[in-house]
Order: sequence, then structure tokens, then C-alpha cells
Amino acid sequence: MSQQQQQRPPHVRIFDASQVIFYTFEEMALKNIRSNLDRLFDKSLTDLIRGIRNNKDNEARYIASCIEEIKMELKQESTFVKANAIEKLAYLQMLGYDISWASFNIIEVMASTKYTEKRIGYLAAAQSFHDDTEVLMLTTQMIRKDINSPNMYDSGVALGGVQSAAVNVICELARKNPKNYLTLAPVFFKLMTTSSNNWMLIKIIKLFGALVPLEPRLGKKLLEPLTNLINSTSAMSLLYECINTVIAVLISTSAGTPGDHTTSIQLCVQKLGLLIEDSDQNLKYLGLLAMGKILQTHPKAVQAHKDIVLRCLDDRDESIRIRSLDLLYGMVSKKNIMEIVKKLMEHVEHAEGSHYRDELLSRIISICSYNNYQYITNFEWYISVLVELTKVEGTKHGAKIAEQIQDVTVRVQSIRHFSVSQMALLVENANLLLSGSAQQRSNISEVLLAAAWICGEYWEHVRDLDGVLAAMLKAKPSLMPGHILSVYVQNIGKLYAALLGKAEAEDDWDAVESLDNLMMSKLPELELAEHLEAQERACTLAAMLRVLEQYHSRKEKVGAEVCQLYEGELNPVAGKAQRKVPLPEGLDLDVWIGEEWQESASESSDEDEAEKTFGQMRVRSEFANFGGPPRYESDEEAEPAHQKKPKKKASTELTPAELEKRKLQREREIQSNPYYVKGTATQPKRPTEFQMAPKAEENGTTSAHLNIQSPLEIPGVVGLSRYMEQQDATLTWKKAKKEKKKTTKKGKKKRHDTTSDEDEAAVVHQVNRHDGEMPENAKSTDDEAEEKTNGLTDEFKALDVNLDEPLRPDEIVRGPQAYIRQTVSHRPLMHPYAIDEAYSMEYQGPLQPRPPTTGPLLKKPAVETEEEKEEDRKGCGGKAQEKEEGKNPWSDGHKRRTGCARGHK
Amino acid sequence: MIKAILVFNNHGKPRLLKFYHHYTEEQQQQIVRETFQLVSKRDDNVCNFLEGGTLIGGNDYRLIYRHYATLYFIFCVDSSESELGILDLIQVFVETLDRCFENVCELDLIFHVDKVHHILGELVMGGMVLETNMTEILLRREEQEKLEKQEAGISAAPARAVSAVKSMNLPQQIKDLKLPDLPGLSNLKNAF
Repeated sequence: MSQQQQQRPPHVRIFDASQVIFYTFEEMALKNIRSNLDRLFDKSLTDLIRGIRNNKDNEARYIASCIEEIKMELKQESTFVKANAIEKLAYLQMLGYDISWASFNIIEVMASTKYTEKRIGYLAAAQSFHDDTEVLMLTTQMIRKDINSPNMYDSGVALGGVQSAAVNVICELARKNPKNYLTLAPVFFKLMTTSSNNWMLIKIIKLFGALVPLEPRLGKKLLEPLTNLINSTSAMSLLYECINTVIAVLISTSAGTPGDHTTSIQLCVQKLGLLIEDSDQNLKYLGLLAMGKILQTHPKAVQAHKDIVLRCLDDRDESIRIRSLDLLYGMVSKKNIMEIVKKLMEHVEHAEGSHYRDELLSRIISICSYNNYQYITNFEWYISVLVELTKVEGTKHGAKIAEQIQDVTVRVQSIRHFSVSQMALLVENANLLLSGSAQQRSNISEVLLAAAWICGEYWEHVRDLDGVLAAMLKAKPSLMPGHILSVYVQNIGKLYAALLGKAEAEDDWDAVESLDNLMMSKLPELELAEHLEAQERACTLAAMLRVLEQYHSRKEKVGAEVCQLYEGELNPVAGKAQRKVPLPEGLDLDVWIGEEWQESASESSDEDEAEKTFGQMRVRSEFANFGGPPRYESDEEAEPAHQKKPKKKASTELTPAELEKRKLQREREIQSNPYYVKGTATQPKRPTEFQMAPKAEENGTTSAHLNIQSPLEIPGVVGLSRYMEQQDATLTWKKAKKEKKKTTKKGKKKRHDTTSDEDEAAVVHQVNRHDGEMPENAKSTDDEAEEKTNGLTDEFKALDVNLDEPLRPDEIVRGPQAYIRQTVSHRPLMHPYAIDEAYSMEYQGPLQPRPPTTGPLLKKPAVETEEEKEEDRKGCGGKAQEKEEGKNPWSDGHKRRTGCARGHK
Repeated sequence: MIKAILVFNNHGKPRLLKFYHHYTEEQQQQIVRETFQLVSKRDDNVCNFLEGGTLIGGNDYRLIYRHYATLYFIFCVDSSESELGILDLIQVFVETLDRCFENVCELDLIFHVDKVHHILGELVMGGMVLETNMTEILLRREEQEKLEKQEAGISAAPARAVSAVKSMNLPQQIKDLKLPDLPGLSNLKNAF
């Protein structure tokens, strides 16, 4: 562009241009005139772009006309014109226009003899051709021809540069299947210690990062040069990749041989700390990312940087905040969880953007509930946190919060009183809570589900039963989702039963009557709920009340019977509870229980069915006959009679199969529903029962958490006065509770105090959990030990370790199988797993009969195994033998490295 | 490996698209739109890495971008590429453009997208980085230009004259819209 401008006379007019043209005519060969003149009136790419810019309003129409022009141009003979047209098409492709129709023309331009034109063709091809392009064969031929071309630039276009491409390509290939490239490791090692091209170094170091998990000895070799690089390089990119690979080395070695790598870890963590504290946001982000990797294997080392990470939570960059949230998992302990969560809560308040806020919420919950509330010592505090979280605007975590509240309340008996007092407040203020926006309403109502259920289930802890019942009866079907309404109705029943029991015990018939009246006045509204479940429950309850009213009118006491409906403690059921129920001896579901069903039995059931259908049909036909032809009904009646006979036969024939099917179905249903004991929708999800142990520590921390709790009590949706009331309730209860605890829970507390060290506590919980989760009548588990070990190794990965259990053996068995089969020849460089040995023995079987001297394929592995033995000896012995140094692929690199001075820009 | 290179302006108008995976034109435009949505929301003082969006299908991929005046340069790469390395590569790319166009601005990219493609072709080929040394790239570029001139020779003279006349219509202020000095040019410590 600048060239053109320089050549341009300052004030040329159109007629000047014609002069220029005439001037050039003289020097031109005549045959060129036509094509050049054609060219003058064609649009160049620049013209096209300018035109598009000038036609912003009707761009599509303008481009359509341009494409028509291009089609015309492509029909011309001149490759010059064609190249110009293709150039324009390549531009239009960028704007989203399909140019596949011109693929043949692109090939034509690619075939041009001129470099400039050929280049246009190649560009267009690169932009638009793909696997399904029809002219692909032609294209590859074209490229082959051009690569062989004597003209260096032709092949240049086809190939591109050939610089560090080799390393790039091998790195890319090795990433896909690293095992095949392990043999190249020495070559790369040499390159790494000699090259000064940072890009290549980065590539090689990254490649080593991928290879290290497959070859632990490589890691040992790498540590030293990488450490040197970390200390010497000034290029941040190189430094960062070195740290990353060192981390990969540490991860791979920590899984295998336990070595002392504290210095390397310290170095990495220290350097990463510098990165995180750097003002450059990119370095900060990457530092946190790498720190997260160290966290998986060396959480203690990372914990030293807790303050830096916490500071990153205040960063203005959301990605950095989310990365530091990731790290928080590893930083949480019993001591600091309150502090960290408090900080996170502050962030929730100030967070902009719902994504980050939701992320924060779910992190708070997952940190707190981690490993069955391992870090929580004060559940009152946790309940307050959860209640506070319900006030957060626009969250999608209503259900999650509700589940947590329920779960904690079910698992931790001692918290129930506090929890119920909080939930009762929520229920009583439901109208206030539901006055927000639609989205907020849906969230808060999920929490109301938990609140209602808790109030109903643990009514003995409710201070003001009448108030709560009245509040629940006020529920508006129009405002509340149906599934929550149905929980409401169910728990209204529980509260009613409780109140009735009390009133009857005191012979307070006025109270009974007013209670019945209250119920009967409010229930009809709930009976009109659109949600079927809610409606059904309301109708059932109302019908029950009508019966009860009759009894009450005769002054007969029925409270005890009503209470029985809701009796029984509800415990968390283990996910595997159903599996663990032992099969009663001698139970064979395939055998007839009584005498075999005779015709009569099946007939009667058949007739029932027939009657059903019959009845339906009759109703239908009546309606259909309304004004219709009269013969219709008789037809209808005749049809089922016809059907009835074959059906009966079929069913009697099918009886055993059908029974089998039904039985299977029933089993499946029962299996998929571990909560079939009491089928409310409000069962806690977590399958394990929580042990009461941690709550014993509440005593020690009550004074501490009071300060922390206060910022949580900021008046929000619930309202100031209510919250004050709530706090009062909390305080008075706490005093009472303290005394109670001191007397009752001492034994447990002592036991826990001995193991109050955080790490050990985790183990204690796991053991306890296993004891607790056994369902009644269950056989003592055979795989308990297995679970324990699983829980320890996956400490940072899964919350519900038990669920993964069945997969493990499969993985272990299958992995090596495929692995060995593909890479028998590469075996020497792999882990000497015992299981590998077994498989390799299998494979040697069929190979042995052949004469060992003839097959080169057979000979090669033999050589390699020898080398491996050598290397093994060195690796295991630790001391390299001087004699064999020449054969050691690493020795060469070592020498060169020490002699090499690396230059960095 | 690099999956795609996108250059678009502050309004999301594409200035250069290079995909090393096949996407239909429709998908490409969708990717541009979505990436623009992601990138344009971000301040200049936040980090240059991004996760999410259709282009980045899978955990392995992420977006690495730089924002220069009116243009966004976005590279979508997998985990085999070094994040900081790619940032440097973008810098090298832009610096090379700056040398080739003498104070590069958006208009240069608009009207010379072919040249930009050729320069990019020297840096990245088939999703692999070929060359990171700027002088080396400029050398290639000069060689190519020489060849262009040789080929064009006298026969292209009238064409050039016509294009000179045509460019008369260009408002004079086009070049005045020049970018301010490239940010980060002076404090470039990580370049290759």
C-alpha cells in the first residue's frame, strides 16, 4: 500500500490516468492489450473491499452481485483474471460465504506458472478445502508436482519453511502416542541441553512432561538440568514450562518410588509464588494453574502460600479468582475453614456477574461438605452460612443449599434444635421471602422445601408449633412450585398430628376444635393445587380430617393413632444398602409360593382387566354415541368380547414369562430406589451416615465463631427484627445446649480429642463412616478394607469414594491388556509391572516355536531387553558404572550439558 | 498445536481467519461471534487466557489472545503449546506486520489480507509454529516481494497505474487513522 502511494503523483486526475495508459501502450506487446484492458475494468480485491465498505446498508446484495461478477471472471481464459477472482473469493470466504463451488477454479489458479498467482491459489485452497472436497486428488497431485519443482519458491509455497518444524511435528506426534517416542528421549535430551532456541526448548520440555509419566527414570535425569534452567533462564515462558515439567516429574515419582524431592518442590513453589505475586496477570494466572497441579501431590507445600492465594480472590480478573478458588480446596483445614468461608461470603456479596457468584456458592458448599463435612467443627455456624446463602440474589443453588440443610440436620442430631429454630423462622417468613423476583423465588422456595420438611420431621424442636403450622397453611399454591407444596402438605400433617397429640393429652377440647377448624378452613385452598402430587396429598389429608372431626365431635381421642402415621426416626440410607440386604435362606422367587395358579386365577385377573377396558369403552362409546349412529355401541361391545378370548389364552400361556418379567421389573424398581422404606422426595442424597464426633468440638469453638457469625447476620431478606429474634433464640439455646453437651457427650469428645490432628481426623472419620452406614440386617461387608484404601488414595479427587468402587478392578485389568498388545517391542522401556510380566509370558508362548535366528523382529526385542537390564541395574543401583557409560544414552548428554553455556535473549 | 487463528476488530468484524481444523463457513462465523462475545467483555488489565466457547471444545484447548488498539489477535491452542510462548508469538506476528506495513493499522489488514496471510504462513503452517525469529521472517518476505516484482515486471504497470487512480478515491485520512504505538512493544522481554 505504501509503495503504491509513493508512486502515485500527488494530484492525478482521471484523464491523467488515460495518459499513463497510452504511455504504457507503446511498450506493450499487442496481445497483452486485450487482457490488460479487461483487467482494468475488473474489480481488484481492494475494489471489492472498498465496495463492501461503501455498501454497508445492503452488503449482502452487493456481495451477491460481486459473486456473479466473479463467476463471469472465472469463465475467462486468462489465469491472471482468474487469480484475481479467486483472491476475491478467498476474502469473501472470511466473511462467511461458501466458496466450495469454485474449488476447481482454485486448482486452476494453483496450477499457474506464476508465483504470485500460484500463491493465491494455495491460499484459497488452504482456506476452503477439507476432507470432503471433491478435487482433493487433484490438489494432492498438484502439491506433489510443486514440491518437486525446481523453482524454490514453488516448493516453498507447498511446504513452508523447514526450520524447527521437525521438532514441532515429532512433539505433536508424540503427544498423540507418547509411548512410541520414548526411544527418542535421549536425542531430545541432548537437544535440550545444547539448544538455545527457546521455542524449541519449550516444545521439548513440554514433550518431556508428557513422557515422564511413562518412564520414571527419565524424570530423575531431567530434574537436574531443569532445575538449572529454572535458575538460569530469564525467559518467563521457558521458566514456566520447566516448572510444569518438574511438577510432572514430581507427580510421577511420588506415585512410584518415594524419594526426597523437597528441594525441587520448594524451588517450584517458590518460583510459582513469585509468578503469582507478579503484577502481570498472565503470570499470575499460570502460577495459580501450576500451583493447582502441585496441590494434588504435595498439598503441604502449597499451604505455605495460603495468603497469596487468598489475596488473589480479590483480583479484578475473574479467571484468576476462579483459579484461586480451585486452590482453596487444598488450603482448607479445620482451623481456617471459618476464616476462608467468611472471606468467600464477603466475595459473594460483592461479586459481579452471576457466573462468578454461582461458582463461589458452589465452592463454599463443596468446601464445607467435603468428605462428609470433614472440616466442619461447628455445625451451627454452617447452618447460619447456609441460611445466609439463601439470601444471595439470583443463584441457581437453591436446591443444593436445601439439600445441605436437610443433610446436616439429618446427620447431626445435636444440630437439629438450632436448625429447626432457623427453619421455623424461614417458614414463618415465607411470604416475605417469596416476594422477590421470579428467579429468586424459585431458589428460595427450594430452601423452603427443606425448611418445611425439617419443621415437620423434627417438630419436637419447634418452639411455636401453632405459628409454624399456621404459616405453612398460608402457603399459596399460585406462588409455590408444586413439588414444594406437596412437601408442605405432608408436613402440615405431621405438625397437625403433633399438636393434636398435645391437645388431647391435656384434654383441651377447645384447642382440638380450633385446630380442626384451622385445618379445614385452609386445606380446601391447597386441594385446588395444580400439581397432582400436592393436590392428592391435600385431598387425602382433608379426607382424613373429616373422619377425625367425627371422632372429635364424639370426644373420642385419636391423637395417638394419628401420630403413629408419622412415627419413626428417619436415617440416611447408604447407597448400597439395598445390595447389602442378605437374601433370606431358602427364598426362591421363581418357585411358586402357594399352589400353582390355575385357570380361574388368571381368568379372574383377566376379567378385571377386561372390565376395566370394558368400562372405559362403554363410557367412551356413550359419549361417541351422542348423536352418532346407534349401531356403534353394539360393535364396541362385540369387539372386546372378541378380544377377550384370545387374550385370555395368551395370558395363560404367557403366565410364567410374564411373571418373570414382572418380577424383574419389581426388582429393578426396588434396586433403583434405595429409599423405598419411606418414599418422600426429601430424602438426603448422601448415602453415608455421619458420625456425631465432630460436633463434640463445638464447645471449644463457640466463643470463636460468635465473632465470625455476626457478619453473616446482616439483615437481608428475612428482615432485621426477625433476625434479632433468631439470634436471641440461638443464644439462649446455646447456653442450654452447652450444659447438656458437657454432661452427655464427654465420652465421644475425649475419643476425638486424642485424634484432633487434622490429617488423622480424616482417617478417623472414614472409619467411623463405614461403621455407621451399614443398613439393618446387612451382612458385614467384605470389601470394607478395599474402600478404606481407596478413600486414602483418592483423597483429593472424589467426594463419594464408594461409588467408584466397582470400576477399579476393571480398569486395572483392562489397561495393561491393550497396552501390551500394541507395544510388545517397546516393553523394555516400561514399568516392570508384575502384571506385565504375566502378559508378556503369554505372548512369548506363540513366538517361541519359531527359530530365533531367522526373524529380525524377534532378535530386536532381545537386544532391547538386554539394554533394559543394564539400565535397570544402573537405575536401581544408583551408581552408574564407568565402563558402561558409553552405552548409556544419557551419559553423552550429561557431558555436553555441562560444557554448554546457554544464551537467552 | 494451534487450532485456529482469528483476528477481528473491536466490533467483531473478522480481519483474518485461519482454521487448522475444518469448519464450515457457517461454523466459522459462529465461532467468530462467540469468541468476540467472550473476549470483548474482558478488560485490558486481565489475563489473556480464556476457557469456554464452542471453539474450545474440550479441556485441552484454550484461547490465548492479545488486544492491540482496534484489533484482537486470538489463537486457539491445545495443551501442547506454551501459553506464554503463544503470547510471544502473537507479539512477533504483530511486530512483523508492523515492519512490513510500516506502522500497521487495521486498514492494512483490511486491504492486504492476502499479505497478512502470507506473513502468517511464514510463522505458522498447518497449526505448527515454523519460525519465531522476526528477521528470518522478514527476509523471506523480502525474497517473496522480489519475486513478485520480477513476475509483475512491465506487464503489471498499467494495472498499477489504474490502482493508483482508483486509490485517489480513498479519503486522505485513511492513513491518519493509524494505530497509536503498539502497546508492549518496548517492554518486550520474552521475544525469541
